[in-house]
Amino acid sequence: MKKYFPLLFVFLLLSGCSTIHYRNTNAIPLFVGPTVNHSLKKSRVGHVNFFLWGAVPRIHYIFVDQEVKDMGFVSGANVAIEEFQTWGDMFLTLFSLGIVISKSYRIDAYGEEGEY
Amino acid sequence: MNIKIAMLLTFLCLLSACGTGVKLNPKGCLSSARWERHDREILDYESQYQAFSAKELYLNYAFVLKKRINTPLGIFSTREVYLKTLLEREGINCQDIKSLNVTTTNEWPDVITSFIPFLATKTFYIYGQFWTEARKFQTGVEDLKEEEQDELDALLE
Repeated sequence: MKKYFPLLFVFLLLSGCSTIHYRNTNAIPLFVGPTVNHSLKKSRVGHVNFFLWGAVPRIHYIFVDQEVKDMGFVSGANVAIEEFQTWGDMFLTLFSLGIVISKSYRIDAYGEEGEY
Repeated sequence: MNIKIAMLLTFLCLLSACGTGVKLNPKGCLSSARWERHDREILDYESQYQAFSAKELYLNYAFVLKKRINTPLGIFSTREVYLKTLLEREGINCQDIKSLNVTTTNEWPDVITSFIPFLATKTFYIYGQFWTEARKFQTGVEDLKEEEQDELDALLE
């Protein structure tokens, strides 16, 4: 039984602690809920990597406004945030023994296209 | 042979338990609230020198919802939760909110549950300001230490 403890310990390390803040830096107006004139829906997927079992960096920031702006919108609304791990993320984490913890996110937003 | 199969099954169970997939959907949350504006330079500084502190959220924001969301199928499917539902369960209307922030984190309970198949969890912090300054609302305050609780109570008075 004792020989399994190192294995469990490795999995504990693999899980690690990680924090992602979703922030708005006001690159474009960003509304929480549905808003008039925001009828086009687009999505954007991104990845973030934590290193050393989630210790570095301690915090990852994802700039939601910038992501929505990169979709081609001048204003965003009804922004949904999905955080997940793909099989690729999972295997990267497993095979690196937690040295790299990869996480994926998807931002779904309704927006208004136009010129800046 | 049986031991190898058991180890493989254990590995697959752990694999499925470690993965989490959660979607926070604001559908139906009719509100004129905006995502809170932050200064990019300050965020860059904080990301280098500050760790995440739930206590600071409770001190700086009018409402803080801490939700540990169970993702039973882990990597195989995404669990969708609705912002409106989470707020309404705590007696908050979407119309009352002025600004919003979202943070996801893996806390130690999440790490522990990641060992148990079909019990993987992820913690969401949803916090911001109300239109009216008078209203204060917080959940998850029980996680604070006693002295922090006293400090918080004094501040809220």
